[in-house]
Amino acid sequence: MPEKRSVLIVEDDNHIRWHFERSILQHENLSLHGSAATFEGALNQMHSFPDVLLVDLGLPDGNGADLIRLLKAQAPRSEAIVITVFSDEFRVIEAIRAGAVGYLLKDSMPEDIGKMTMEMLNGISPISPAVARYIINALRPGAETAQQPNSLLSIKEVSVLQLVARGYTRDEIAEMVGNSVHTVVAHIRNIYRKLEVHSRNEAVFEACQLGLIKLNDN
Amino acid sequence: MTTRLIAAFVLLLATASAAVAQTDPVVNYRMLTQAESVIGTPGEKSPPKSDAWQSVALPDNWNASHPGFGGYVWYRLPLQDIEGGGKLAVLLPRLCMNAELWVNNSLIGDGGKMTDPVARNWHRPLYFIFSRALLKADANWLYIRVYAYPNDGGGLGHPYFGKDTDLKPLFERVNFVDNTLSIAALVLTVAVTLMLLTLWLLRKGQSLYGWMSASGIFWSIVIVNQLFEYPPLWLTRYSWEWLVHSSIDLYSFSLLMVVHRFVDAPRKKIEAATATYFLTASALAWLLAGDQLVVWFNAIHIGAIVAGCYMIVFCAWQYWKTRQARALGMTIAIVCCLIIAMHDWLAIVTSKQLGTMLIMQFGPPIVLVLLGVWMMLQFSKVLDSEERRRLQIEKQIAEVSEELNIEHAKRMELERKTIVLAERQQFSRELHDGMGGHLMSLRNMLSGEVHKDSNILSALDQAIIDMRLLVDAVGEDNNDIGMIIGMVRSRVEPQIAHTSLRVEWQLTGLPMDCLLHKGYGLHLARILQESITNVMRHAQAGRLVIKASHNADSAAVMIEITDNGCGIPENVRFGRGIANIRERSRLIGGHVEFNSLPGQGTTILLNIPVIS
Repeated sequence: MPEKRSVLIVEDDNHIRWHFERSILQHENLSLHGSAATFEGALNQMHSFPDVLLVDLGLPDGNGADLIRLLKAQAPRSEAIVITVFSDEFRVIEAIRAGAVGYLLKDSMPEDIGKMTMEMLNGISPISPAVARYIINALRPGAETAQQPNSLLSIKEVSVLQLVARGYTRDEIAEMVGNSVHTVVAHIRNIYRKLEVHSRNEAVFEACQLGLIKLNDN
Repeated sequence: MTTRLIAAFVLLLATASAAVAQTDPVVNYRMLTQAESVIGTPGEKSPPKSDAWQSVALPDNWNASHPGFGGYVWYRLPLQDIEGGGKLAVLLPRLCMNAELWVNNSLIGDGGKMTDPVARNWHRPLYFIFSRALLKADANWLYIRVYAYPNDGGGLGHPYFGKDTDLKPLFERVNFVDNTLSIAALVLTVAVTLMLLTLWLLRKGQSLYGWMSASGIFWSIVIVNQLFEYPPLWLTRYSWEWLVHSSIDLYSFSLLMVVHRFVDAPRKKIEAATATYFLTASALAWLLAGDQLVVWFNAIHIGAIVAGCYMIVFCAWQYWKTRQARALGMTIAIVCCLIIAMHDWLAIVTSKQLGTMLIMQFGPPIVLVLLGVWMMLQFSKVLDSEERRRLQIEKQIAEVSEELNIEHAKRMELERKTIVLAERQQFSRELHDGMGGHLMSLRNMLSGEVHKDSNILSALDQAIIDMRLLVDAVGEDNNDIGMIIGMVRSRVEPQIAHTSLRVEWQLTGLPMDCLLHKGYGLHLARILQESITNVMRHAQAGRLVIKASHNADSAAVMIEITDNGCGIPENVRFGRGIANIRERSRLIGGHVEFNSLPGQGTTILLNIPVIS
């Protein structure tokens, strides 16, 4: 039996934090490293780093994305997952850019929380239609269509994103593009990775955002 | 412009020459061609009683008949009475330098002083009127006493005798050419010269204008010489003569400088040689010529003729090389000028000047007029190009400001859009984080409690989904139909998962980038949500198919929502849910059809226009 992964939960809403604590404790492969309601409290518990950081971005005394950056800088093998109200695209994108591997919805079922955490640790990152749509729009340099994807993402990755934005599940996408689910998962993981890399390389992302402004101009 | 100026100039010349050439219909006067002459002595008060009268043919040029002589010569000519009444007159069109006239023993007039400084009438016709009473019944004589300096072309041309009324027109015509036209030439020359001088003073760098005005000044002196009766200012006859002849040469030197600069091809060596020649020759003449001054200058002027020939060849060659119109114009002008000058020079050196008109004064003004015209053309060209430049600059300014206006309007519009978008995002984020957080927290609180299946929980879920749809649709102003359907799917799927309903989403017939008109996204989302919720709540269906396809011809998208449920009962066909769907599809410019049979399910056909 593999060693349990330690989880630090940072969430300012008590009910939700408790809900997540309970769910983690239920899972056979996860252990609770600790939990905090504030940015400060989280820092205090990070003298030793957890394997997984579950973090709400909108903390009362700081930004969860900074905690993710801190964790990834000090302990690159640890992973971060964002807790979000809905699959709320701007928060999620911010988290991805900070280095998160995915997100969990606050209303997830207890058994789903553990299961999805493990999935994300194994490289299966979730992606909602809203997030996909946001990435497509943000990376679109002008009025170009899917036939002229930007240089950041490959044509395959863009078409996967478009199908995700239309609400298709991973299985459906795999069937539609004639690939295995595994390949689709790899594409999504690549998209995450590319966004994170580019967030370090701010200039490009800024340029894309300028492109977004141009798009609105047209 | 040029053509019109040339035409005007030619017309003027033609008019002037026609006026000069006009002949009298009645010729009631005689040109006298034979006379007798005798050398006079100073101080005589009346025609001499002499036996030495010698027959002489007129014109009598002393350079030929008395070479080197200076002093008085008496001429006498027999007068035959002219029939009819009225006064009689004598016209002396040509003589040099001055004359006194007697009829028989009566003095009828003179052309000015007969002693030094003698009046200079070498270029001025003299006209004398006398009464018939002076005539005797038998023989009558006209005596003419002429004075001239040595070697100065002294002599007498043909006198004319006749009735005053008949002869006067001839006098006036000769006077017009010798005086009036010469004055006109002088005025023209002085005016152009002053203009050029001013121009040169304003723009010292332009030596062309300086040399032009110098040539004008020199030529003005030459014309003045023909018009003034006595040497001007304090000058002696000798220094005045010297100045006039030097001016002729310096004029040709100045013209050489002008020509070189006019065609942009200065030749320093030729210029220096010409200047040296004229200045040296002139200085030597001043010092050494004495009585021979005019003879010296007749020789020195050959240099001016050579210079003139050189200029003609030079200009013609420049024209050949560069095809500059001004080089051609200059060639023609100098040719005219030289021909006229040669005429006078040949007449003088061959002692023929008393039998012909002297016209040299009219040559250089031709050149000056050419230069004046050329300068006016340059001036108007510069004005034109300035005007064009100004208009062009104005046009550019107008264009740029128009561009700026457009740019500004764009910026304002962009800013407005950005602000609207930012406000929307801000609004939806606030809604999401604040209200959403509370709802979620509330749901978590309740989910641990006893209300698991209560209406409160499902109402709460519905509220959360509604808010999500609102945030999704409004926050991003999403108008891609495929993405709107995807968004609705992601929001309703968790609800559907709790039921036994199987939903199929068929979007393969819908191309990417099928766009609704802006702002219609939420309506479509609500239509789909309402339709799906209706099926979940009322249809008791096991299967729901949502299929979208694009019709490129009508630029529309067709969405079919088909279930295999119980159909819509008659009593709810016009219920609030269905009315809402109808209203929203009307708002987005589409239309909706409900096909339902009891027990056989329902099909909702939604047709919505898209941006083509």
